[in-house]
Amino acid sequence: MAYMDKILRVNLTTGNSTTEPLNKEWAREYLGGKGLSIKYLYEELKPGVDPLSADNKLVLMTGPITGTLVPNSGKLAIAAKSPATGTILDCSIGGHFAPELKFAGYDAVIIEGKADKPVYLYIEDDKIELRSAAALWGKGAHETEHLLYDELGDVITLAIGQAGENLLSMACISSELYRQAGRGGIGAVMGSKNLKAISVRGSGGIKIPDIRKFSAAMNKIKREDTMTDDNMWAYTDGTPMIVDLSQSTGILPTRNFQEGTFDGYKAINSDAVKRVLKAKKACFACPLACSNYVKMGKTEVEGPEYETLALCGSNCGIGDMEAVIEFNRLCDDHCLDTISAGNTVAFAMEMTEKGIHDFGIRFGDVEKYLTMPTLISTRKGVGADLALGVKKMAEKFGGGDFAMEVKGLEIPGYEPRGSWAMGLAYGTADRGACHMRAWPAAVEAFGDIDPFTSEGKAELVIGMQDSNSVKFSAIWCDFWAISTERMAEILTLLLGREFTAAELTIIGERTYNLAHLFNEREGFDRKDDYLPARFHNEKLTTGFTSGKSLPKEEYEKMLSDYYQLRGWDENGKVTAEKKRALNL
Amino acid sequence: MKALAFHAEKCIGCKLCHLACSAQNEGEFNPRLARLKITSIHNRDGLLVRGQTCDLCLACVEACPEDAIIEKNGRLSFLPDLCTDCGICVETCPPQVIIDKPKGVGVCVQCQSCANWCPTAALTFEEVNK
Amino acid sequence: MEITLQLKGPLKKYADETELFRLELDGNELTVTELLQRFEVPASSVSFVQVNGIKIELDHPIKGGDKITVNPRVAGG
Repeated sequence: MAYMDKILRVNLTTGNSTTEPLNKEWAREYLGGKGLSIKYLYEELKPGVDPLSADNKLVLMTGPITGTLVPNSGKLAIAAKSPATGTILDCSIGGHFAPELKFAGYDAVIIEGKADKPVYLYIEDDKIELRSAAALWGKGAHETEHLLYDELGDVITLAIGQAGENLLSMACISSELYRQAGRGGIGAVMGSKNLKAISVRGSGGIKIPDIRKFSAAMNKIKREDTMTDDNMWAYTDGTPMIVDLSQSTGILPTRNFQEGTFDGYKAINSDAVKRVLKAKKACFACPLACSNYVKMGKTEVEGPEYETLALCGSNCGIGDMEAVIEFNRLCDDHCLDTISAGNTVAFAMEMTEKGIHDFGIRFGDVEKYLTMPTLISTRKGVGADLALGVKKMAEKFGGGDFAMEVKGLEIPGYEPRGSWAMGLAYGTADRGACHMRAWPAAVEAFGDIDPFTSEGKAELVIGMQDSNSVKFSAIWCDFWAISTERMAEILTLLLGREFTAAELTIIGERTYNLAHLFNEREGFDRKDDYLPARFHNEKLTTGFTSGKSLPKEEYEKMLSDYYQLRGWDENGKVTAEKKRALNL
Repeated sequence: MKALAFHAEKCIGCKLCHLACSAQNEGEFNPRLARLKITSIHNRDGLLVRGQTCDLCLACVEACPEDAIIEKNGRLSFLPDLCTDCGICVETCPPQVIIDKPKGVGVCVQCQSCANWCPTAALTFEEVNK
Repeated sequence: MEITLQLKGPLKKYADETELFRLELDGNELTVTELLQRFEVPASSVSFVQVNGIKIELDHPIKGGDKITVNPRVAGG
């Protein structure tokens, strides 16, 4: 069957591991991935739990499509309470770990407690072992993966680097060197548990009825709906394509969001990436292969993705591809989220240039810039301050009006003054400023919806949030622009029971509301759903967005519209009526 | 004679070929039961892409002491009734793409499911010099 | 009049896989929409079009010397 009907629960405090059946009722209500991992955490975490304590839990969750021939089904959800924000945190990581976990026989792994010494978890089918990670602790994620491959053979590994060990709120989890569960400090949750890595090998398979018929149907869908004009940008260019789109529409974050265009953009755009491209690379079961394996000078990386080019390039005033690639490689090895790291370095640059606090680094200073990932991840020198992340740096040193974060999570690469719904998306994302819960820039800045009005934006953002919640629960990759109808068609074929688009939309809405209830329980409400003052008070001065801001009253209007359409009260709390309607 | 061929420079490492093969020939999604081996990993030297496919070299046909693997019209056939599970074919196969099963073996029958699924034409069915 | 046309990413397939090329247009008064129709680029495959680096509406009239950049739709980010 598409579900393995088995969860592995590992307690690092006792060293014991047990298996239990997947909760079928919850799987019906939340599918898997994002939704189901949040459900488990909502039910099992005590309110107010310290995210870096033994009482937080780390959930690795696959979905019903994982491990099959369904296109773009290679993702794994990793969830916990976030050390960066204190909200629920679910991340999505590509590569090959998720299918391997299912081939080992598990839908999910729930990791509890804390080991007294550094360990790694080794899963080979029914064999579950906690082994000493003494020889791995202190090493980067890249060397960690190489050493585990040397020792264990062809396993797939999730690992943390120095940033995770040192409990940074911008620490990510890495796999296959260049794939990350990036945001919200998910790597610090692993680090706090003294868990350096998780390696898996599975020898089993997934059996479904009429597998040949199902496979033929998927191949047709792959040809006619996946490998099409809407999605092949991923293969021809990948996310670096967005640099030119953002530059021409004035939403490319530049010098800590002081501007929306960057004079040096041609040095960091897709053409520049293509000049050093060596190979295209895909996650498991993905025909689109968005990843670009590049080599330049003495450095190499799978990337840099748009977010890295924007936040670690233009936003730091760095118009130098080789420098961005090396910064990217260092962040990946040390396991720093490049969105948060780029923002943090840019904030330090502006603070220094404005004379508020001297971090010894200015926009465009390539030499100092390249020392930052190592200093930050090891909390050495000026890195000790930057390791705090933008929100806590601003609390300590000032600069709050241009501290570019929401709920403590640094802002991704789309300037909301040129895409107003993007601002609402950041403000209402369940894990702090995130572009993956809703990405309205695609239809505002890059489409034909007026970016400079608050009209209709709440509905737009809610639709995207609910649709993506289903997508990340099944789990599909964001990069296939799959319709909810198509999702329903595939799940019906796979699971042998009728799904409708309407039913899936309710699963998405339920998931988004449950994530919100988790945050409500932690004390979040309307006051937390605001953007940095810069977006309201400062007008951009160049390019397509010259003269534009996102006026505070327009933002307030979007936010109120949003709560009303969500069925939440004016303070952003889920109403009893809405809870009943969604069976929450 | 036509057989599978692998073009490493086009391979994206998606493993759809492994899934297509195991679904077609073993009735399950299980990359380890595929009758081909495509590897795409980052090791210390960088990205390593390697492909092992049946090129109809017929070493297994020659090696099998029981004539349980035969070639007919450019296709291998496995005759389970004759197989004694000696494992010689699995060891002999130069590209190492014969699957050892609890009972019998799995050989590539050039069904081309892998090539039909390959999104980048890294796997093709083409004339081989035999 | 001569213009430069750039069909980015997957859209280059509508011009024999050539992404960037010069083009002589007969007649005057041609809009971006009409130009896209000539190359059989489906409107649904286009996110937005830039003329000389600036995002424009699709009924924008083309002038000699313009550089027209046609961007594909992009999902996710």
